[in-house]
Amino acid sequence: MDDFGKKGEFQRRLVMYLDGALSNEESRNFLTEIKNSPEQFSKLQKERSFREFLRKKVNRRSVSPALIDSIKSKINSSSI
Amino acid sequence: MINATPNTITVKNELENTEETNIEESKVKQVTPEQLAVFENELLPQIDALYNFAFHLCYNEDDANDLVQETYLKAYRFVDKYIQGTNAKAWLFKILKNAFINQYRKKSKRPTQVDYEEIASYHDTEDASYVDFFDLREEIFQGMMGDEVTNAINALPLDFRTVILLCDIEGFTYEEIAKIVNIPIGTVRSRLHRARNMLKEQLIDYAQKMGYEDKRGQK
Repeated sequence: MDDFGKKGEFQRRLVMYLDGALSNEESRNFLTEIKNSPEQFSKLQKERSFREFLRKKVNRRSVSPALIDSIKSKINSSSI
Repeated sequence: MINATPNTITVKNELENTEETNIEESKVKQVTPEQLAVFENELLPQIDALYNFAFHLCYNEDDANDLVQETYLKAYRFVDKYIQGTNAKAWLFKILKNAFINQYRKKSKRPTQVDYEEIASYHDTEDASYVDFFDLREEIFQGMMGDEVTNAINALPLDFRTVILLCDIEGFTYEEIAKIVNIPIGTVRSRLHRARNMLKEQLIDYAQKMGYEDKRGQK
């Protein structure tokens, strides 16, 4: 595999690792491989930070009690 | 508390996104007290996540409220199809996504979504187009407000926004997303890859407009 292919394969496994799509064994192998590569480890940290950044920053809205009441009310009625 | 008396309701098969092939399955069925308990204990607690997803799909509170309400009313009608103790969140998200596709796309009268996978795969391979996000200084992004990030997500085309919300915000697996959106797992992966790249580029553009310099490619 050339450098381009190796880089692509690394990125594929990195994303799958963070998405929880690798098996336990594949995850262990991946972490073992990048343990001695500061560059690859840095990429993992950056991508992990990006995911955390999204989760933390995206606006989350609270459901209004009126919506919950409305759903319950419709369910209790015979109009469904 | 929902009335636990068995109700008689009319059922129409609307769970699947079958706009042209909806099966009219009008019949009468009863919702048992046990099913009502499942509805209250397993389905209703998912309402916050559902509402957030709906809000990011619709862009406004009224439509999100309507969509969530419609989702729960459909879930109630079909509560007998839900297996207690299984993945309530994924089940509800699929109902909501189908309701959105069937009704809100028509309402918004938006042009047909371009098949981005087809176009993008013509121009590049998945792994060659990886965008390094945090080569810009990390503190710039940590200083971003939620509105900026939310706007960047909302600016993504619907198909891409959907997978980002499901995977990166709600934490669904590839397999769950594939079932919710009704696409192959490979498409989930490629769509996620491109969605994240688009999102990173948008956030980088935003940072640059704010006067920050892109350090990517510099030592």
